[in-house]
Amino acid sequence: MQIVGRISSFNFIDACRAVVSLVSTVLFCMAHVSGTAWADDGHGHDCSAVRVFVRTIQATSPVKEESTSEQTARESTIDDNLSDLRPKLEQLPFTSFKLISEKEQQLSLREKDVLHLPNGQLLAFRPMYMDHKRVGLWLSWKDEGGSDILNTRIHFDSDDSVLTGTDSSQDSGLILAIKASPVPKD
Amino acid sequence: MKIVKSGRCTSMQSKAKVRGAPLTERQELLLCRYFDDECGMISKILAQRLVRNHAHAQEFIESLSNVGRACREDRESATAHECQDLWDRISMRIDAEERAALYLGERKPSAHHESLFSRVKISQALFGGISGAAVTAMALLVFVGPREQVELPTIARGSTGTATQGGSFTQVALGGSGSSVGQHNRTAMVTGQPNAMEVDWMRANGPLKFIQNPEGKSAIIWVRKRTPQAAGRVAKATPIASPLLSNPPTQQMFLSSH
Repeated sequence: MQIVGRISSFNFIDACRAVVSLVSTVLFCMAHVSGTAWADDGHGHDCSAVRVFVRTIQATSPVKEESTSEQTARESTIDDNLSDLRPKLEQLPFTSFKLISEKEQQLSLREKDVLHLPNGQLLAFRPMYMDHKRVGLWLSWKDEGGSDILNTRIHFDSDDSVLTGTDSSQDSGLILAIKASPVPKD
Repeated sequence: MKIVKSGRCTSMQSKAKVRGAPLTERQELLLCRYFDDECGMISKILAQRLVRNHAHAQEFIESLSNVGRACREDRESATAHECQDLWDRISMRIDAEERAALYLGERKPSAHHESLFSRVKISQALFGGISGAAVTAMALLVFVGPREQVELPTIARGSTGTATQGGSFTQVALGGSGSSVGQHNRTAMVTGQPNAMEVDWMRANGPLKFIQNPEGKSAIIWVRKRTPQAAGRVAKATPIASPLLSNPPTQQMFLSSH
């Protein structure tokens, strides 16, 4: 009976020690992981702020199905402010592209911002990291009712504009051109 | 007169019979209960009457008291004797241990028992450490998984394809490559495409189309509006990780009639 009592006391004490060590190990590792999560990507933080440039484009005059093979030859009407996006816009099955609005926002890394688009839609974004070559960006594009049109996290070149669009009606579409450029550290 | 005498003689004879007759078992039990003071009022009166009128009952009571006295005396003498023996034994054992320690050294706790407890402690510590390491490894895998690009499919340059049916997929690299339609250019993925757009995850409220940029820059992400029929189909579809595996890219217009 004495031996059983001793064994039970040892088990309880050692079980407590094991639980404490386990919890402390898990907490330490989680703290370490959360602090170095983005460092695993090999992306440095060369700048502390990011300038996000969002252009809202309306696409009209859809191209008919038969003209798929003639996409490169068709004439597209593109606003002058969108000339840098011409190669990409010509890939879309529309012939007319009009700039509706453009907004530029400077914000810090991992800071969230929300832009109200002209048609009542919302674009929320958060730059995750930015070096002089690549940028990681979280996007949430919501429609007038607040439901997600697109929710994604993407990585792209910092000198490139990401185009995303959706059908706004039977014969028109709405395109967002998003570009993120670094703001160098002072 | 005779009758009276005979009555007296009868009572005297009955008394003589009572005194001379041995006690019945029932009477002995009654007397035992009376001696132990466990009788009720009526039983007590009966027992007292029996003791007054029965000689054997008196003797029985006396014998009971004698036995009890004898037992008590024996017990007291025995306990006194045991106490004396116990202390003597203790002192003798102390002397013996002291003498043995001179020759054999001091007595230590049993090694066998100590190793058993230490083994239990060590095994529990090992179990705790291993389980902690396992939980940590699982947490690392879940929260910070390896970003392997080997599995990333490539959408061929200049082609369009339906990527998903509105589901979400991970780690799709979309960039210009020289691959033909339908081929998984894994080597291009492994060697790295600096211009490729990488997607961690993507959710949309409609089918997604990725339109490749011929200049090798990031692809265009187009979210198609769901028709009521397509919404019912999509609700049954499962998310597809690899667009090329599920839907071979074709030169189709993404604004289809259906």
